[in-house]
Amino acid sequence: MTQLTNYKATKIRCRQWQDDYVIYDQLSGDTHVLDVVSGELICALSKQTMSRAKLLALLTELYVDVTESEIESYLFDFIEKFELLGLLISE
Amino acid sequence: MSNLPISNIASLSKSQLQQAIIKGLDFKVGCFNVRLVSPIVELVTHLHHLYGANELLAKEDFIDFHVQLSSPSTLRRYFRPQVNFFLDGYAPFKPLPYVQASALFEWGLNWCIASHANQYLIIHAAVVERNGQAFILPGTPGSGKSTLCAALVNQGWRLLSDEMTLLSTHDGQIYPVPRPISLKNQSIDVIKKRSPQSVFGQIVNDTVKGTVGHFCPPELSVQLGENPVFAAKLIFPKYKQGAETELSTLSKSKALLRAAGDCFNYNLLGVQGFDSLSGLVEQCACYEFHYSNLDEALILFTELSHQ
Repeated sequence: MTQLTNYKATKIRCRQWQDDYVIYDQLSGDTHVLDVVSGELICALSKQTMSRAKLLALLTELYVDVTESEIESYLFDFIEKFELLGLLISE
Repeated sequence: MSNLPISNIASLSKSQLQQAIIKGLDFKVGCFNVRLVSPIVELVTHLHHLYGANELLAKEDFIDFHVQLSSPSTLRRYFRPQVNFFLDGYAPFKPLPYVQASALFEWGLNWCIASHANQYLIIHAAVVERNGQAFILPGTPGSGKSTLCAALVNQGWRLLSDEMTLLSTHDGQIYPVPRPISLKNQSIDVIKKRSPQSVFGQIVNDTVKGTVGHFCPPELSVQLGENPVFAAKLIFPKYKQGAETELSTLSKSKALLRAAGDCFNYNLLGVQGFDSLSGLVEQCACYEFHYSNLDEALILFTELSHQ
């Protein structure tokens, strides 16, 4: 996993209600409820491919009160979890 | 255009109805057209009691479901008689004891709709309407949805269905399929005591669901069987003996996940199912509802119907 690795979401539908995102994975047919941070990331990745560096920049811009290391750690977990779920593809 | 009144099943005498069913009785059930062929006398009584308001079809009308109920023609019919259900000549179920013919007709028709009507997202839920608002009540067996539905209908609510909510994937409206309400075990006596005037069909004991009785839908609900309505409330009821009446707001994301689990064809419809269900959840206020007292439940639902 390098800053140059690119990520994109698989074919999904997103709906947001308050702090919850509901994601429908069109490939697997699974429906997921995500927290607002994961939801915003995965929806952004369904619109365009992003590098790890760009994802970090997006998170830093959205969550100004959070430290860089917390964001790094969150992104690491996010990528691992969503690749495992099949919602995220690395290129 | 003909000015003749539309004929319904009640316009036939019992013997005419029997003759018609032997040859094939074509009638409307909500937005579906059904042809029933059967020599079974108990079905005549069932239709006579519970389907009187259903419109008879013209010869040229398209039939959605060609249904047949008959006894196997083996020697067995003399010892332990049974009944089979067929759709287009195919028997989806094992035969049941002959005395359960009317229940098998109802269950079989449920299966026909749930397995074939994929122009709708089908939620395992009762649906009733008042003041132009449809209330959807999803629930697994034992959740008390049918009892609550029957009690509401007896209070003048319009019945769209006690079993299947048909959400159109095209226009987002709920399409009615008003049929007899299936009550089980203690629920039958509960509703009979509350509404002694209510009409029940044959009470069938020892089915796989216990004792089953079908309660006649109101005539007006059947007559409005082709008029869809938009949903306003999505309420997940749970009957529990001794429980306080409690209505709590459910987040839309949780409501969507729970309703998806109650659908017959959510996975089959794919993204269309998700779009339809998320559209429904968007337009509805979503709640969890715990109850044990039907009177309190009715008051609360009446208040909700004014919101």
